[in-house]
Amino acid sequence: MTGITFHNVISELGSRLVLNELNLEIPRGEVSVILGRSGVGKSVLLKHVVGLLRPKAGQIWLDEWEVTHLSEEELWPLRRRCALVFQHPALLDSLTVEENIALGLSHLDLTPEVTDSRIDHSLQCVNLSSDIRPYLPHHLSFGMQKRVSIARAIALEPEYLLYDEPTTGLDPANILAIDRLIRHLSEKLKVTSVVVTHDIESALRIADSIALLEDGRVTFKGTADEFLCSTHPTVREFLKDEILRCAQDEL
Amino acid sequence: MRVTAMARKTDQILSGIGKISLFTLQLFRILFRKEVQRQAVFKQMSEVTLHSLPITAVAGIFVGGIFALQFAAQMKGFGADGYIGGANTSAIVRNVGPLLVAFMLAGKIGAYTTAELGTMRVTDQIDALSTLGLSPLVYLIAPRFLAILAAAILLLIFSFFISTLGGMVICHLAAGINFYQYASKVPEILNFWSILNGVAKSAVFGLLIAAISCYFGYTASGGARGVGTAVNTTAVTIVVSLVVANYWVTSLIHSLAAIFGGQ
Amino acid sequence: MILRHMMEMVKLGAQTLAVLFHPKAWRPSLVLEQLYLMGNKSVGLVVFALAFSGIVVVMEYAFHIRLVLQTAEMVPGFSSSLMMREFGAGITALLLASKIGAGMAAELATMKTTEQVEALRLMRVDPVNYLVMPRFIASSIVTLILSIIGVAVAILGGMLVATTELGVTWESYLSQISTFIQPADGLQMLIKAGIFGMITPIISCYFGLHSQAGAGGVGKATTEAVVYSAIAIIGSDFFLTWFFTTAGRI
Repeated sequence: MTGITFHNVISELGSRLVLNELNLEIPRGEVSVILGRSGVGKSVLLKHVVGLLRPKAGQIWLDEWEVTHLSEEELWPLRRRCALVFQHPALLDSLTVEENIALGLSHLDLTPEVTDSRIDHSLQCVNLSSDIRPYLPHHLSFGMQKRVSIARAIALEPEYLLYDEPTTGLDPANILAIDRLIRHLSEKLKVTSVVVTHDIESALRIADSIALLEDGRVTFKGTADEFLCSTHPTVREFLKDEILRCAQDEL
Repeated sequence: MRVTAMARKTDQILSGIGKISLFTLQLFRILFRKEVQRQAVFKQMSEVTLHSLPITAVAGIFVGGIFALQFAAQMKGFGADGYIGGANTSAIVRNVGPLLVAFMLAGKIGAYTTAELGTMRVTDQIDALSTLGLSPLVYLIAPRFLAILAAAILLLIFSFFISTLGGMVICHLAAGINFYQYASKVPEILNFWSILNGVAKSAVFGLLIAAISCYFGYTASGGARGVGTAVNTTAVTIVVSLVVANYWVTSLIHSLAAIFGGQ
Repeated sequence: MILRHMMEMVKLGAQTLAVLFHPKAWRPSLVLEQLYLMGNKSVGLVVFALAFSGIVVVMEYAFHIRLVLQTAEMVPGFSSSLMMREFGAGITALLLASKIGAGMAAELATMKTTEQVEALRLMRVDPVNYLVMPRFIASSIVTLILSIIGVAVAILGGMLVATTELGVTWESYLSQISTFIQPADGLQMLIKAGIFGMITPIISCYFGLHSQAGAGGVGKATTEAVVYSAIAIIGSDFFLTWFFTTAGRI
């Protein structure tokens, strides 16, 4: 079994039912985008894959491992395989860029030389110069912080990259750049990318397949073209709302 | 370089004191002009008082007990048992009661207010009021200020009684001093000026808690982190001001008493 | 609800202590960093506040003793004794609960809101080990040291008032102190300071790490840290005082 699979997953956040018998299969080698309105539970879905959240019922498979009942210790090797890039850059405020990336590598028993080269390599992959290594996060722009958090994930040399709202909070130029980066990384590093977002334009640009999350379930799954041409009512509804919203923004 | 750092810090502190004082005067002016809703103030005041009553009682009992034990230990060695009740009560009303309980209230109502107002400030709710044509100071801050001031004073005065009770109970349990013994010397030791001392301190401490917490909440900035910083600043500022004010009020009443022939 | 909080806090305390027993897991550089941050910012505060407290204690003792014994002779002794047994640790700890307790809660709550704590978990870094333990050690040490400094300052402040207002010479003041103060008093102060210093970080870190999201969550966590720390200090002060005064004395 390969890829990420959700099988009849039910999950609550507090008293709210967020995932309601959710079924989803994400194959390896692609860029899969999960679309949905704000607050619908996309981040929650992603966090389940690496065991940061646990479901009330159902199974979640990462390749051949079923993760819902694994302990933190058992999850560790999987978290190396499947790296999560948070919505907030989530870099530690008190550490420099290189210390932040190194922290992620601290449990891998790498020699200092290997750690060093991984840091440089990962920064290069996200189009950042090694000059920023001694900087603290708050000295960098938000866009750069986001890239560093991607670099931190890449440094683990994972097989899966999960992105939680990678373009939220960025200006249009940066959004394009990050979109291109996600596609580039997927091809160059041969990682399976799962992107969670509410930005339709980004999704259409980068996705090999799109899944629409609504009311705790996946109501549509298909390619970008299929998505645009779909006659499924929830998809039409979602597109209509988003286009209206974009039009209002432009005004 | 330490000197310039200290000088800058002193300047910061002094200008801070100035700003808070001006802010408080503004609030008092608003209150005196009766622009504020009586009902809202009363409701907030009762809410805050009731909510903080249990913890004040707990703190009060503990404080009364602590000093009962300490004084009893000191006086036992000198055979001054009889005076424990009087001395303890007097010390509580004059000093430790208001001060230590106020320390706790600095957090319970002070920090709480700053957190609340600060969150409203950084989520633009206060600016929203302005854009609707309502003055935030009149509609939001002044009522809260008065409610907290009143609640603090009430709670501090309440703590006198609770602490005294606590002291009595502990003296009985630990030193075998019965209630009659305890109470007998109180009138002798606890005089008018001491009570005035306690009440004045309650008022001053209440004012400090209310003014400082409202100010730092109102002027918070910088998102979630800014709220945390504001609450931290409030807690520290209140606590330090309480200690200084404790000294000033004691001195002041002392001098007044001397002038009027009391003690 | 409060009971649930208390149980969780005890759990966190136990986890922190468990980390302490694995010297390999210690992070000395983080501890030193916290020591510097906490100590540096708080020294001035403690000195300032304890000086005033020392003055007030002497003034109050003078007032009461004069009332009862008509003489101010034993004021220095009684005052210093109380400062050592009670105020040195107590006031310092309450001050530090506001200064560093609130600071710890705010910092950790902000980290939680920006997903830094989750990021640590993913990097297989135990938040208790990385965040709580250094602060726990640093707070205990800082509280202890500042209490000692605080008592000294308070006694000096008291001496200032005694010599200027009460006509006590500083030699007589100091000699009274040496007669009145027993080793047990010093022990009382050190144990109180140590315990208070351990309570505040556990409570503050607990509320920081379990805060809700956003500005509101940070504010709430910081407030709860200060309130619960204050009440815990006052409460444990009571039980410790009871222990020290009734153990063979009264």
